[in-house]
Amino acid sequence: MNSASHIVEVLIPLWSGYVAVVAVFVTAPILVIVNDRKIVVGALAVLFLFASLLFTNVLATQVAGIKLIVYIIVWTLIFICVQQKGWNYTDHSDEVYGLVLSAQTRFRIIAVIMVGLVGWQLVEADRLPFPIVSQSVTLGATQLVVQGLLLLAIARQPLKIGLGILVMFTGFGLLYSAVEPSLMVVGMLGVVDITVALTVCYLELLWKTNTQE
Amino acid sequence: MSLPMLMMTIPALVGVLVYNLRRWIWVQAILACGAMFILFVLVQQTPVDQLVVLAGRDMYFRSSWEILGRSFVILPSDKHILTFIFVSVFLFALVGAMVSVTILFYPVMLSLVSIILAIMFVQPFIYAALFIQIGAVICVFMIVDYKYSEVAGALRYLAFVSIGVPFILMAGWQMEMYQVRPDDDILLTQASLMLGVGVLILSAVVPFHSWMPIMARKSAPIVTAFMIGVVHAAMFFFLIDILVQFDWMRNNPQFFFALRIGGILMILTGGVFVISQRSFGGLMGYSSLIDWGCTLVAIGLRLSDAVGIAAMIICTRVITLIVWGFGAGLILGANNSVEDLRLKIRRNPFATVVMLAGGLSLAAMPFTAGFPARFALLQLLARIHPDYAIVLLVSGLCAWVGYIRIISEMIDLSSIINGEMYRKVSENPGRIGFSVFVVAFVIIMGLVPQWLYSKVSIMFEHIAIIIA
Repeated sequence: MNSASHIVEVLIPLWSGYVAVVAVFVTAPILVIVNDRKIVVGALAVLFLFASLLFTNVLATQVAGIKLIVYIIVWTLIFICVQQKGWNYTDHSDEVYGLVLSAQTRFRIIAVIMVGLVGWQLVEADRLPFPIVSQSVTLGATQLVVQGLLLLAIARQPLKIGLGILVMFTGFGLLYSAVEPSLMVVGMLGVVDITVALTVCYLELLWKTNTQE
Repeated sequence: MSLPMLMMTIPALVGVLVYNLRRWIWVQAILACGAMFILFVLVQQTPVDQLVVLAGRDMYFRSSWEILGRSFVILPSDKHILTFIFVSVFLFALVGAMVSVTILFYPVMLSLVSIILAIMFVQPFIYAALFIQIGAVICVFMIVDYKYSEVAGALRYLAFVSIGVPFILMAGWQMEMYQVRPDDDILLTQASLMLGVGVLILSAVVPFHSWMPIMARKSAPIVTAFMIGVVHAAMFFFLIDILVQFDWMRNNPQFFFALRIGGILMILTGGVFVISQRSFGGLMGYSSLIDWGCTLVAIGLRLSDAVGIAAMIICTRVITLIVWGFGAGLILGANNSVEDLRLKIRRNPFATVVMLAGGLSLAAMPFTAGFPARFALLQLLARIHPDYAIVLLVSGLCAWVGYIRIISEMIDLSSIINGEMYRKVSENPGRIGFSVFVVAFVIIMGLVPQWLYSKVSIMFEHIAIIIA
């Protein structure tokens, strides 16, 4: 065993438990609340990294590595798209004046807290139709699903709606991989993630043209 | 040779070829029509699982194709549904060349044929959910382009399919678990629930319907017609596949009740909104919603006669949408103002009549192709569920009122009646001839529906036999 793989084997158990769940709890709400593209793209990178670590709890490390590669491709696509479109967001409705948050931001914070509680209660009350592999994975996955759905429901920009779909699929993938860990399914879900990212980039760039006109 | 593999690869390969020829619209149309004709001949003439001599060589067309541990299987009962798909796509490809379409219409349409075939053939069926998702993603490239750049309809469609697909996947897992633990009825109950919810979301049941009117207002008309007529029908074929495969689903009265309620909600919502529409696209979108609601109600009745009516509704919908798409494709642009639209209507009276004939047929106006099936459903409902019949009748009337109102607002009827409009037309004789032909066809199908019914009722014959 070489030293790199030894380091990975030591680090993964340390980071793939509740640390990853905390990272998900922090980054998923950022995607919902914040409109600043720099923060959103950064938060997405962190979210994908820790989601990949959560996958090591339900899949073999090599297969979880495939998920990581898929997420790197997805993130790169999103990054290129945002770079093409520009990092600035033209809507100033969520600007912060001193310590006063805009109504949109306040609404989003309340919504994030509410759906977060719903997701937490789903796990606590054992209402999920999935076997619970580990409490931390299920908690993280449920948060990803509910926050993704929230993003899907309240966002207007193609990019954020697309991120909602991707985040929701990431959470669902975590739950589903526990019951269907076959390589075929992991591969197909990976293909779905990449095609969704491509489509979202296409729509975002066309949306840019439309709004600029 | 594997027949499913052949049928799935032909449209995909032609799609790649067509993509490289996207500057020549008629070449694209001819290639797409040619591919559909070959597939049509294959499905009609190929002896499956039999040794035949073809051009002096022994050929064996297998009914299945195994790849990566999964199989794609063509069943004898698929033949009529496949015929419907190939004929529909052929007609859409033909009409698409005559009107304004998005730049990727033909390549994506051909890829979608491959995806729809994969949805129908794949075993175990849960993998169909992944193909549905990939299909939804591909559709986006057809719905939106630099000319039709309104993204809301495509985004809604993608979002709703993405919400529906996980339910199907979860149901698949629970069914697998039930095979391992047949005593655990909870698994079966949960699987039915998940499958039901997933199918209803994919069927655009309210509140997951909004992509339909948005797309109808903002996208290229023939593309919208294709999405509502053919792509959405694939979801319905998926539902039929589920009912054929799983007897516990067929024997679940709650599932059929949910289909009926979902259908009635679509009819009700369509009726409420169609009356206030100010655009031809909006009218078509909500009329389609009512029509799809009728299909769900027909299946939800769980009667063999009603299944035949559902098949008739699906086929007449495709005919009327093609007619509407042809007319609207010539009249409605990407960003038309009301004045532009009035001018186009004055200059293209024949295309206007075609658009109205298609739209009114979709709204089930008497003496049009859409009427006989709707009337048969209404009669059936009046006997079994009079309350549903009233809702359907009122919603249908709302669609007619919507059309009458927009016709009175947008079209100068006096210039049509005194013939002044026809003297200033900018349409060529070929287009006028085709317009007269399609309008006559819609009316003849409305007057003599028996011919079409005998052809389309066999499409769902297998489910009609086992459902009753």
